[in-house]
Parts: sequence; C-alpha cells; structure tokens
Amino acid sequence: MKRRPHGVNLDDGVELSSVEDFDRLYVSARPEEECLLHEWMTASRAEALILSGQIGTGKTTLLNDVLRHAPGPGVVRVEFDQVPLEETQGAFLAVLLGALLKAALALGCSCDGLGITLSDFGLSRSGGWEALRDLILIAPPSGAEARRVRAVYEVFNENARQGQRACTALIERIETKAGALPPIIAEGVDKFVISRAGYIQLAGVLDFLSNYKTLYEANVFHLFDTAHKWVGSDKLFVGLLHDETIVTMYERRLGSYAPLHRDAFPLLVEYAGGNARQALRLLNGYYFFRTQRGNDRSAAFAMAAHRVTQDLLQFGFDRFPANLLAIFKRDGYVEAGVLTSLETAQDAHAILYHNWALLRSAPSAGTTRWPLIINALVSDAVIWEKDTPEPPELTAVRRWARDHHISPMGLSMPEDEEGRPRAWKEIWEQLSSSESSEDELNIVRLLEEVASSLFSANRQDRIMVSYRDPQNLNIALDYLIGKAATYGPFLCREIRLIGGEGLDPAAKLMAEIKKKDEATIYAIFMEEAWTPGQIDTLERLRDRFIDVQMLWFVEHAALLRYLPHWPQFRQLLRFYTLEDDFLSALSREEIEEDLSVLSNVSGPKDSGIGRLRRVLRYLKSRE
Amino acid sequence: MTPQERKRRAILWHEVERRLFSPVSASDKTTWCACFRRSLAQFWEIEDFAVQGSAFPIAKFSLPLPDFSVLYDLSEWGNDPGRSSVRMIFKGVVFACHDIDHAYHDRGSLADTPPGGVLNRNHYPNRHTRSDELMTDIRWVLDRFILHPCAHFHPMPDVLGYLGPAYEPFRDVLHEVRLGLGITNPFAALFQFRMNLVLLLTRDDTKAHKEAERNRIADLVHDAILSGNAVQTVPPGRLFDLPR
Repeated sequence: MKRRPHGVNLDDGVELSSVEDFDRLYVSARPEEECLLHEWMTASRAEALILSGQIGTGKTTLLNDVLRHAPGPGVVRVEFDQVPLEETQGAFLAVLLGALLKAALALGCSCDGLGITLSDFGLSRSGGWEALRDLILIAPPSGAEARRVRAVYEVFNENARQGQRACTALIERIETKAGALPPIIAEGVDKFVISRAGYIQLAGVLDFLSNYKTLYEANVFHLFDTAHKWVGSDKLFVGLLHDETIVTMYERRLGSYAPLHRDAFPLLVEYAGGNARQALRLLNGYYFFRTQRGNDRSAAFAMAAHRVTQDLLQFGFDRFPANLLAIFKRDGYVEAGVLTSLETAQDAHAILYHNWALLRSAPSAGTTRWPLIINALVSDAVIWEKDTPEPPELTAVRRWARDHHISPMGLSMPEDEEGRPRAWKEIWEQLSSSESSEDELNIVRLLEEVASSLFSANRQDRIMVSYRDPQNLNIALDYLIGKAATYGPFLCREIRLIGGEGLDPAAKLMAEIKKKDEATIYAIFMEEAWTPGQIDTLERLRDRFIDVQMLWFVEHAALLRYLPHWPQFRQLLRFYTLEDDFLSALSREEIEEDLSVLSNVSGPKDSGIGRLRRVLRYLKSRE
Repeated sequence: MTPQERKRRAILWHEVERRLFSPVSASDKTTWCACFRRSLAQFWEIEDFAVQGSAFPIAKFSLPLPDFSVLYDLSEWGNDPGRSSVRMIFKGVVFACHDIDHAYHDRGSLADTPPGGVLNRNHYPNRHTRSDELMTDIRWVLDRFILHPCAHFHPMPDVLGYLGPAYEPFRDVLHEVRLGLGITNPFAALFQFRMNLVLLLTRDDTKAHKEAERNRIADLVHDAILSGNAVQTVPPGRLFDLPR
C-alpha cells in the first residue's frame, strides 16, 4: 500500500506489514511484549508460546514487527488459516510440512530420508522437493491442480504419524544447519472457533507443535480449551491499548491534519475501547462524515459510531447473552471458570469472540479473574445506566441521534424504572437488522461513501453491498468502476461465485485473485445459496483478502444469513445496502462529464469509457 | 534581469497562461474543471472523495479544513466582458469572494501584447544552455504567477483564534498561504487556490510540497514548448497529475 508522506492515511484497520507502513504509522504500544517476543525469537531453544488476544487488538501487527527484525531464513511461518484448501488434519500437516520444506530448502538442508518420498505424492524426482513445497503452499490455479493438492492431504489423512515424523526430521535438520531450533510461527489459529470441526482437526497438529519452539497466534478463548495439550504452553496476552497510544495512532493516521480533529479524539478514544481496529474504523467513519459530508462533530461521531457498531459487532446473533454480559459489566471481570464451565462457556466465548466485551489484561498473579470492560459501542445499547453522568460531548451526540431518528448504540431506547432498556427482543431486532433510512443508499450516495477505497491506490478496502433487486446491478457496477477510472487507472475483474452443494466458490476466488495487483478492483458476486461450510471458508481465509481491493455484491436476505458466520471476515468489510430504486440519482450530464475526463486522461480503449458509455445509454433509454 | 530575459519572460508568462489555464471550448472547460476537482485530494494528501454534480460552470469543493469550502462560478466567463467568481465559505457562510470582472481593466490588459509572438527556440539561441535557461524562466514565471503572486493576501494568524483551537498549530504555516489578488484568469485563480491551500504542519514541509508541484508543472511546460508545437496546450489530465 502506498502511503501519503504528510497527509491522511486511513484504512479499515488492517495489519501493518510493509516497511513504509511501519515507518509512518506504527506506534510501539507494547514494549514489554515486543521485548519478550524478540528474546523468544533469538533464543537458541525456547518453549512453545501462545500469543493471544481478541480480534483487532494488534496481534498480527505486533507479530509482523517482531518478524521483520528476525534474522535469517530459519523462521518457519505456517499460515494455517490461509493455505489449506480444506480443514482436515492431513491438510494442516501438509501445510506445516510445506512451510518446513521452504525453510529447509532456503538453508540448503537435504530433504531426502524423511520417511516420505516424492513418489508418495505422485511427483517425480526431477522437480525435487521444491515441487512438493510449491504444490502445497501456492494456491492452485485450476481445479485439476487443486485435486493434486488434496491428494497430498489424503496421504497425511491416512497416516498422520508419517507426516509428523517427516516434520520432526525437518525441524532437526534445520536446527543442525542453523545452530538453533527454528521458530515456528503458527499463524491464523485465531480464525478457528473451538466449536468448529476445523479446529478439532487443527488441534492435533498444534499439539504436535507444542514440543517445539512454536509461537501460536491465537484468540483469547483458545486459552480456555483445556482439552488440548498446546493450550498448556506459555502465554503472552495482548490486551487493550492505552488511550494515549490510540491518540498517537490517530495523530499518525491524520498526519498534518491531525490538529483539526483533535477535539474529537477523546470521544473517539472512549468508544474505541482500547481496540486498535475499532479505533481506526471509528476514525475512518468520523473523518468521512466530518470532512466530506460536512457534519458537525456530534453528528459525525454519532454516525461513525452507528456505522462501526453495525459493521464490526455481531448483532445478528440469535441468542444474545444479555444476562451474562450484564454480569460482566457489574463485576468488571470474568472468572476463568465461567469460560470453561459447560453452562456458561459458549456464551462467554461468544462475548469475547465478537468483541462485545474486551479483556483488559491477563489475570494478576494468584488470581483467575480476567479484568474486562464492555465494549463501549455495545454498552450503551445493552446496559443503559440512567444515573451515570456523561460528558457534554456525549449528551450532544445522543441529542443529535435522537433528533435524527438513528439509534447508534441504542441512543434513544425506552428505559424501565431502573434505567435499563425495555424489551430486549425489540432492541436486538432493531440493532441486528442493520437497516435504517441512513443506511440505505442510492448509487451516487454509495459512491460517496466508498470513494476513498475505490479511487485510491493508497487503499485496499473491501466493501460489501447488499441489494434487494438484482435488476440493473450491472449498470450500478459500470457506474462505480467507470467513475473510479476517472480518478486512476483501475482494472475491474468481475468474479461470479456460485454457492451450493458440490461447488467450491472459495477455491475459485483464490485462483482468481492469485495474481492480484494494486490497480485491480475485484467485483465479486455471491450467487445462489452458499452452504454453511462455504461461508465459513471465507471466515478462515480472511487474511488472504487484506491487500485486495474488493467490491462484494450479495442479495440482502442472503447477507443476513451469512453474517453470523463472519465475526472475523466482517472486520475486513464495510457494509452498505442499496435501496430499491438505487439508480434514480444518476444524471446524464455527470456521466458525460466523466467521459470527457476519461477521454482526456486515457486512450479510447480504456475499459472505464466502455462502462460509462453503457451507463449513458441506460440513462438515455430511460428518458 | 537582462533585457532579453525580461522580454522572453513576458512572452513566457502569456505562454504559461495559454498552455495551462485557457481551455477554450465548453467541453475543454468542463474537462479542465473536472480534472481540477479530481486532483485536489491527491495534492492536499487527504482521503479521496467522490465529487458529485457537474464541475462546470458552477461547482463547489471542500477544503482540507473542516467546515471550509469553495464555490466557483464560471458561467459568465465566456461572455464579453468575461466575469467569474470564487467564493470562500465557512460553515455555510460566504466570507470572501474573489471576483474577476473584465469590464474593469487592469494595467496589464492595457499594455501591448508582448513583442516576439510565440515563445520558441529562437529566444534561447545557445542550444547547449537552452533547456536550462528555459526551465529557469518557467520556474520564475510560475513562482510569480501562482506560488507567490506579487499582490497577495495572507489570512492573518489572529483569525485562528475565532476558528477555534484546532487551527492554532497552523499559525506559522499561514504565511505560506498566499492568495493572489491580481489574477484575472479564473482557471489560474482556481489553480493557485489548489496550490496555496495545502497546509502541512511545518512551513518547510509546505514549501517543499509546493515547490515539488511547481517543478512538476515546469517540466510539462518545458516539454510542451520544446516540442516545437506552438499551439500545444498541456492536457488537464497531465496538468493535474491524474494517474495513468
């Protein structure tokens, strides 16, 4: 991602990865954890370690920072979430083997005599072990290639011990060559919910890795999975960011223009809840409403909070654990036992996984209480405290929201005598529907909201647009992409992903975006009814989409069904709903002007010209 | 300045205005304005935003400062005499208006057209130094035409007290905001708004940013003149650095 040297660098809160990202935007917020991880990385031997935290706390960025300073090629990065085509133990073992092969080959280790041969996988010796490595690690470009990869998985599914022995032998060879145990980074474990079948399959491989110098990137709820050995490893918990850190983050993100928005920082920080991604999404929304819509501070904040609440938090959940959340709120902590007990674990995990409550830190020595706060965006909706004095800024925000009939954070909920909101069911229906007049956009308004993503090579954001009426959707896409082309040289690749039994839409998507580049916008149409497994796969593959600019289109009713499957994936998305007559705001004059710009800046073969001409023809046909 | 330099810079000034800021047809004006508006976010280093509505003849754009916007009206620019206005707005209230009304002549308009016609290679007879001399001249003209006009006004730092504390850190940088008073071409006026309303936190950064842009534009003018094509203007897409 390109960054502006002095000015504004917003995005939807994705991990920092490039040198430029770190130079311009990184705020070193956890010096102790950084130091500990550096020591762990450089030690010649070390025990397995779990780096855990909730979604959006900055685990991956912290890890990237440590890894960019890691010496040499001996680091083994295993992307358990992104590489496997399926969630079987054989697939996970194969991915581990592929990552070890990569490190071993980079160090010049011999890979013969591992107890497996290339012929076990249908490969000839001429391609060498590199061929097996590439087959496992590189996303298959075709269905036939995918079948070859699955055949490798099958070998390990039938004989997991054989795979483990080969991995052990490779680890030993790397250790001999490098003079130290290789650090194995088990990335993406945090994408696997304990209750899902995929996790059960993965856990066997994680247990195997606990014998080595492994760093697990996990969600905090994994720490309470007492059934598996790997969970007994040492732990490093990433909790909430300090308010000052978030302010520094905001300063960096807004660059020269930070002073103009400092007056909003206290409120934004308060509602960020110490979570890096939530903080950035709030800033992003606030900046848009304040600078581009010209809203005053209160209105901009209220709408940003409303937007982020709908986008990030899982209000479509059909069994919202309000009572448990109220207890957490009252106590200010959660007992470890609540997270392991059969009666309460499921709800407690849901609360943590969806970031409805945010753990401040690990328990103090000698206690089992995890201090927490209720996510401020949820808190106001769930636990309405009438007597709590609030700052004048917040009063102004509430007043604005009430006057404009929007309910970010349940701002205008009816209360009972104790100051709690009445009628939970109604509240949740209201919050989960994601629908208010503010959210439904015509195509011109939609463009305004998503412009910073579509127009800019500085950003790779992902937008999901739901629609009720698919008629003229192609014209809408032509308009969005054609308009984007007037700002820069974008290509658009349209991908139609059809769900249903016997199909593999995620594999198709991975193959399509394999050769991604910054100037391409992927327009993805989710069609037909996707199965739960297919929807879950997007959740696991989430990080594959981080540096891809995507515009998803999905039928509105289907989206409401899919959302509960995507606590992680939805963090990468912004959601918008198109109103039924979404093309009504297009004007012929404006399209003609856009065409004149495109003709000036590009050649006649620019695809944007073709798109805008189609829009123009459509508009003329309506006259 | 030697008499030769004076002469060719006088011609060059006209050349710069003609090649950069003088779209003729309605379609050219529309394209120029549309490219202008699209370039603002990139140049000011703010998030890109969608520009709605037509860019010509009347349009509005937001400044990087919250609550500030600019409304320009070029609808009478094609008339004789040509008129236009650029209004500055704060929280919906117009607080300043840059009117151009060619019914009232300025001193420059009474002067003879600079002798020597169109600038060409002959004004730089030494072919070894031609390119450098031309570049020096172009930068000299752009500095005085756009970056630092002879007559200009600065918003005074004390006004920041009325805008609120958020603006205080820009006190020092305000001296880099020089809005030219003598610009009689509305396209040039809009261009210098774009150039002079970039507010980076330090004067040095702001100055360097503007100079880099000046140098980029100077390259375009330089190449257009040396191409030998006397009528070639700089396409707005290139003038405004729209990526392609």
